Amino acid sequence: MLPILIYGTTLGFTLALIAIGLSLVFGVARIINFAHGAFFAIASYTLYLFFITLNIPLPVSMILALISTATISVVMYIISLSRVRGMELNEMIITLAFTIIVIELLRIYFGPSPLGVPSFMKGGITIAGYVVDMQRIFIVVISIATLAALAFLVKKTRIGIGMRALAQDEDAAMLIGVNREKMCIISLAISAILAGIAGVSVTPIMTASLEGAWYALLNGIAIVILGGLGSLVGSLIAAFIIGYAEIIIATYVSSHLKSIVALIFIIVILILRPSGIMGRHHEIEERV
Amino acid sequence: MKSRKESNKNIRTIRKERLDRGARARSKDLYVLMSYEDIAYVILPRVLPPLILLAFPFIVRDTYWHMVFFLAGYYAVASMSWDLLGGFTGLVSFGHSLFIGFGGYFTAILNVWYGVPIWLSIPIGTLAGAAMGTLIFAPCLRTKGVYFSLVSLVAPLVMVGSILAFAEITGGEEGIYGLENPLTELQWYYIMAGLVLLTFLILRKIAYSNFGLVLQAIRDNEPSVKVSGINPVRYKVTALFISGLFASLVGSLQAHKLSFVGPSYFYLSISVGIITMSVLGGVATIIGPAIGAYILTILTEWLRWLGGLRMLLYGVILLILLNFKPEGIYRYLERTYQTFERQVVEE
Repeated sequence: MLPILIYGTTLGFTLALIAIGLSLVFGVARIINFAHGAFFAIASYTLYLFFITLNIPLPVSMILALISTATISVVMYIISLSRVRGMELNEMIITLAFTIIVIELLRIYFGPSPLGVPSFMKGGITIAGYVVDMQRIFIVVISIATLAALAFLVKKTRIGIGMRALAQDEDAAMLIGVNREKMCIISLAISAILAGIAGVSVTPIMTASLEGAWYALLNGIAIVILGGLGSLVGSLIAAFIIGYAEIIIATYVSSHLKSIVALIFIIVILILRPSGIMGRHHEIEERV
Repeated sequence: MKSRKESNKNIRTIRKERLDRGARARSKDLYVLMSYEDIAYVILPRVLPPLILLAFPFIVRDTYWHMVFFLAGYYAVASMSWDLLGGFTGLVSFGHSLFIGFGGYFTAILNVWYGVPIWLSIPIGTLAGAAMGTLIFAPCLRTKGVYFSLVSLVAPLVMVGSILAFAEITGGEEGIYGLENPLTELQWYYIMAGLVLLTFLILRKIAYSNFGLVLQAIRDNEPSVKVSGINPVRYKVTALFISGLFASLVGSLQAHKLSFVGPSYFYLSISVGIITMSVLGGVATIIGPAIGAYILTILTEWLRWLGGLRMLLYGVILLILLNFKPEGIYRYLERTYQTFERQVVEE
């Protein structure tokens, strides 16, 4: 029972970071970002590049990995997404094309096989007779710190207020003087950094792999639908539901069935409550 | 400086007049058909492509190219069926391979495990595949298109995982071998060529009927459809099922032709290929995706040395097309077909 709790909590926090970014971009910029999984993979691979290949010290290479992930996301927005803003279908296809391009380039440069990165901290802590390695504790700590920082950003700062204004009513926010393009870019960069933090902190456990991009995207989508598109709190709750469910299925049934959990949750929630756990119904009619 | 001045003068004196031939032909004076040239202008673009498609095995006798064209036809049917959803209904499917995979697997299970003969396994497999895919997607049709796109990306990825989980039925990673394949390569070519033409005719009929009109209305403004007293969900489910029928039919044909089904039927590369071909040919035109499919399949065969870079090629093509030329090949051809330029000397 305890291992399920531990693994589920780590997975839940990781998935929460991924899904909240996806949800944030949808809420603020109205972009369904299929490139979100690519950000996750970019962060893992750049960490490998800086830390292992170039031998830069760990904290510096982590920050460099996050910066490069955010930069790539902003570049994607400026060179390509900004041209098709408002055309929802083209936005989706372009972000998917971007994911494919990134994954293929990573495959060319790093090769198809997963790359391992050693744990950031050695050893572990014994909780109730079960050894929890430091990496998992690191994931939990850094996720909580990130989420707290995000909550502060969204609730207290001017940028966050502007974002919330845009999410509530785009026209009114722009009338007041919120710069929409700037907010879209900032929210995309923040979401890339969130996905990047997830990618960087999970890499020692999951290895840097190309499948990781699809795994992150698949679960991110499932969580966002389960929690309600655009709802950050809903995404947080849904991330833990899916995280624990996946671990339970993988432990007691089969690890291959892990991914089917996401689809079942999506279908059940769409039948029972299409707006998700925390989404309000009228938002579905207006936004989606 | 001087030369530019001269060319300016030329532009002033010789002007290019643009005529819209199609519009004139539709107007009352049918002067277009006054000469053989004009008759050819009307008839050739409609007759020549199917003739080439049917006569191709006699022009090129290399079996390899027959196989390439079979593959192109496979993609053409799949992308035309994608177009009914993505182009006309506004439901952009990122996982059309789901239908292809279901069609292939149901056919294989019927044919190999239960010994159903080929002439029964293909229709039953097709129907079952389309029904199964529709069943998975139906819950997301109550909400707007975005949910459908999200789920359609997830579903095939999940299916690959669950194939490995239910290995005793699906054969796992190795897939199912040994489907009945009584036909020769040439016969397969003609089946596929006929299917491409038939699919085009049927889907165009559907897309431009009243039913298709409702679908386009759903794409453009769903609330107004509801206001008109039409239940959009029913129309969307029907469109999904029709589209799924064609996609799972090619899946089951492919399964019989290769005598094999495997997880590769569900791969994202197929769905992305279908989207790329549709965007290349022109979305919401039905024939456009087929043109795109033939062009892109032949192009990737030429660029065989690229190997694993095919997906990169698709991605780059998609990115460039959507940013700079979103109209697609067919609309461009249509435009140049209907207008022609005549030099008019002024003064």
